[in-house]
Amino acid sequence: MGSWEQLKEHASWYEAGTFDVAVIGAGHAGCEAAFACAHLGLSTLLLTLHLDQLANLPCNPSIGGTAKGQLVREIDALGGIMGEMADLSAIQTRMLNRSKGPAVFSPRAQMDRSAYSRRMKSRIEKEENISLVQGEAVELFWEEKDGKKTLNGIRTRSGACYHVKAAVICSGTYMEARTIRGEVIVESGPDGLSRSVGLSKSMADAGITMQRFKTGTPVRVNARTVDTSVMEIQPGEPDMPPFSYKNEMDGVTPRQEQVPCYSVWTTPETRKVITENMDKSPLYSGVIEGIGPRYCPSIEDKFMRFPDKNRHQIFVEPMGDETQELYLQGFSTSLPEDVQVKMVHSLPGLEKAHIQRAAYAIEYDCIDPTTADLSLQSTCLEGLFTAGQVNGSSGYEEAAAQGLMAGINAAMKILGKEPVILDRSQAYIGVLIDDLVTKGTKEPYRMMTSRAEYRIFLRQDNADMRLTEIGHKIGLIDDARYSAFEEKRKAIEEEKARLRATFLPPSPKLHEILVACGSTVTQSGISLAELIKRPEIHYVDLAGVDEKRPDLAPSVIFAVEVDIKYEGYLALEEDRIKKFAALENKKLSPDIPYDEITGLRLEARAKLMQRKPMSLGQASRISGVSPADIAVLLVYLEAKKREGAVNPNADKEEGTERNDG
Amino acid sequence: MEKPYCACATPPGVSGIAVIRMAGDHSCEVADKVFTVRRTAGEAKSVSEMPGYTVAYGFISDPSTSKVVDEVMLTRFCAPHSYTGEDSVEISCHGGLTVRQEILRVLLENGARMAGPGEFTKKAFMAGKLDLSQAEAVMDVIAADSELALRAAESQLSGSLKQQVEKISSDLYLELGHFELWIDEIEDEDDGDSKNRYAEELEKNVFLKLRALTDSYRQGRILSERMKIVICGIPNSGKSSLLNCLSGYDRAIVTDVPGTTRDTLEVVTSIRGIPVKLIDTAGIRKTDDVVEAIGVDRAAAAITEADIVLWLVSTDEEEKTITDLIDPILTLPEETKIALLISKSDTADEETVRKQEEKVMALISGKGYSRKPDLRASLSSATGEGVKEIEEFVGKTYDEMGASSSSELLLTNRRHFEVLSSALEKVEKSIAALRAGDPLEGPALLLRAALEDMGEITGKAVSDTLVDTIFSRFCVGK
Repeated sequence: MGSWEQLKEHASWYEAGTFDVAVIGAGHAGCEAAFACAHLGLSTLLLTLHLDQLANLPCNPSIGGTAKGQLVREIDALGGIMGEMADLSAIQTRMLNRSKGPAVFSPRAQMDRSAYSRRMKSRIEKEENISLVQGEAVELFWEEKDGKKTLNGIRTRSGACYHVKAAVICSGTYMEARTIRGEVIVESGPDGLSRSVGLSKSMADAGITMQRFKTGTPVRVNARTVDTSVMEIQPGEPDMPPFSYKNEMDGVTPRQEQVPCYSVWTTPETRKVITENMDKSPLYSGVIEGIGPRYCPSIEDKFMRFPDKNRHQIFVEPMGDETQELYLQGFSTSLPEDVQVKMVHSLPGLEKAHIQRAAYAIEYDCIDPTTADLSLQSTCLEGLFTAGQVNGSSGYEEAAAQGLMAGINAAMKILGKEPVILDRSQAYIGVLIDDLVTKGTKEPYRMMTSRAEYRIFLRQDNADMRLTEIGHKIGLIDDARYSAFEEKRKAIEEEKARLRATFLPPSPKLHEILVACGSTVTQSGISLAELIKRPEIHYVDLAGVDEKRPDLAPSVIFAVEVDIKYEGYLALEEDRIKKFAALENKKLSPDIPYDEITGLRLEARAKLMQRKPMSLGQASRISGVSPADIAVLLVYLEAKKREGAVNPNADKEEGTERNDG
Repeated sequence: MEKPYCACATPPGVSGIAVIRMAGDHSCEVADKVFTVRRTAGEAKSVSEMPGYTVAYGFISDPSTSKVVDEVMLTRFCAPHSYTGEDSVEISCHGGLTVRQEILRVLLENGARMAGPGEFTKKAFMAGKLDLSQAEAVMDVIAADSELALRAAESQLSGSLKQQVEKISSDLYLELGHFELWIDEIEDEDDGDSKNRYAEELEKNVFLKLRALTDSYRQGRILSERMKIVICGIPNSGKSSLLNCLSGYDRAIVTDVPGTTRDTLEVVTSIRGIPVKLIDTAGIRKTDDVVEAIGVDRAAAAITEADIVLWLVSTDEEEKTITDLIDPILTLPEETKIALLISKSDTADEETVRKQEEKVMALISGKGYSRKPDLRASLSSATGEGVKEIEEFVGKTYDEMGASSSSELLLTNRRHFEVLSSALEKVEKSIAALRAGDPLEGPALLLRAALEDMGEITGKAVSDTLVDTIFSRFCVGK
């Protein structure tokens, strides 16, 4: 199984060419992976099941949101393309969490779904090093030496066999997928698209542990049949900065014209319909084996899990300029179609709604991500990388982030360079990958800000400050963009220094501003920075008393203000990051004989032997490894270090003793 | 072969019996080279034949000279059921310094090596016999030199501090959970009321409990670091006699602290079960002499670190020197208790003593101080007059130190105190930020950081320096 040897045995199989990398699947992960590889100069094969569905948005028609907006900004700061494409296809833009602090401000944009997909296709097609091909990958080829498997090819259903040095599998929800509505089960990918068959088995043959997950998508209705006048309107925010730092640099902004969204609440009737039909739910009758996400539950799940909550909010989101389709966010279900009609009609304004696509649950194969390492390469099959939902995550942004990193690391491997691994204090991307690979997941993993320990530092506004240098070093950020970034960084530093050094004497003008902001009036001189630190005062408020204020870009002003306001918190965050880094920097060699360290508990010994973490920090996050085990490892490492330091002498002494004997 | 390691496990100094401990794979072989079994419960003729957990009586002798070093009892422990999880032996020998050194020399010459500081406990820890906090408590138990201190350290060894901090941590986790849910799940609502409610819950469930613990350190510290009682007064005011009188009471070992003998003399003892350190200062006097001034400076520094200052004024002391001491003593913080003792009362009549005391009080108020000494008594180290009052005063001061804490558990370890104080400060800031209406992620950060601090006690968090810090505090033989 899984070798080029078979080529002679099958008449329909043929050698179709040689590529550095094959990317399997052209969704959000696959497009980023292919783009990164191509930009780093590798010949890249991008295989897709459906050439007209690149970067499809089969669920919610939006990109960004809480924690996800941060991911998009990070992808962009590293040189990925999701943000750029999203800016161009947005029909509504908003900054979520405005009522909270700037650390959790999260940009989100409603997408014109088909426009997004078309743009991505056109962008990918224009890339010099990408060969975009419609085809279904069904088998991986590898060679085995000393029990170690190394990938060297892939085969498609039509018999095309490609020689490759690495592959990135981004199979989304397509592998062995089936959709479920009540008792109606269809062997199909999302949106009625054909699924992937066989690849999952080939992965399992390579030794990768597979899992089966479940997710779902809600009903789409025709806007013509919906009365939005009874709904609460959710207008967009014009003048939102773009997701993409490149677009910001080039002066490209999302469009001003905003398409509104709406929200409604479920009614007692909704609840009644669901309760009466619960016996038809495949989730509760046991038809669905896959494990669904806790954070994005179906509507029936919400009613069952929170019986005290009488109603749930549903958002009504348009899906594009050239379609009447509306997406009902929060109304995902796997109940039968006839029940879905009753459920939709129980909502205010949707009494006569015409359903264009029914909701469904979808089950698919994915891997146990703990079989991958932090570079997203499989520990079972060298040269195989995985990204996106195949790693157990959920969400377009999570997928794109992994796709980018898997693409970069496949390229690094082929180019003979060190892998690029972002840690938890550098990026949400680092948190995401470390969580998946180190802790594993038993349900589709969604990014949330609370998963990031260093949230105050990992903001959407400073993703460029955190990552652009890394992107430049990798080779995905060109020099022009890098120097623009350096200028921005300089402008921020200079402005912060100026605000700290500029003292204002008490004056009637300042007095007036302070009173207007509802702030305490000062009797003595005060620096501009001290004033901005006050929660009620903003940078813009002080224009009247700040005579030497330079003309700065809004993004610079935002960064300056956040840095100053958060100063105390950021200092604490820095301390915590230092402590964190101390354990991260203690590297663990893969040769450590964990099974011989008696102080480790048995479970820890087994887990450590199996997973071979890269650092003590990573080891500490493996479930089954306790802090006491980490302390034992610390002492062990220290002892080894000291032994190493005196070793030459110790050896001699021992040698002498032996001679004497 | 890996050499077994050995060290004396009992404290240095003369004692009736000392224990030398040797652990490691080949401890029995080494022991057999130097130990001759004379009598034991079974038939064993050598240490290797002895069953585990039995004792043999016999001799340690030097194989190179066949000379007997000491008559000892040897206990054998077998792996993995020993302190370090390895084969080990404990030799109970006579307590003299020479005997101990000789036995160690013989062991070293016959295949053992000297143990490093904390090596036994580190090995025990590596063998999974203790967790870090227990290892730390082992050290506290060893260092405890009064009954109260021992009890406090033992309660930590049994894990009650850990349990209490765990309880507070889990309450804090719950609160943080509310915050996180709010930040991630609830899109665009802000509710000032819930912030105030969070603040209240935090205060009640976390802040007050943490503070009770940190408050207990004032008293707990005395148990681990001793109450500092500084005796001051001009030369010949009777300081040394009082020192001897107070320390003689408990037959304490008088230790000269190297390098400071000319300036201060320190004696450790216990008064009413409370571990104290008596510090005899050089006479405090304003002086132009440079050398003496250094001594005076040190004495003044000793006063500022004192828990209690015993201020001796002899019945015939002149106004000038009394006045000199008023400023340094009366400006001490409120927590430092002051006892004014009219000394050498046996050399004068009652009237003189009373007048001298009145004179001092008048001088104090004359300098504008409203504060008065917390104890006034007449003192004669010769007759014992006033000694009982001083002892009661020490007891009362100790009791008052704990009065502010409602915690049943005493915090005795400085590291625990520092870690919990740091957590307390963060929780307090978090409450203030909530009340000021700050966005939730700021207070949430503070709570996370506080939890990380507490994790260093509950063992949930490991910092790379912690392990070294703990083991480096151990001494050789432990």
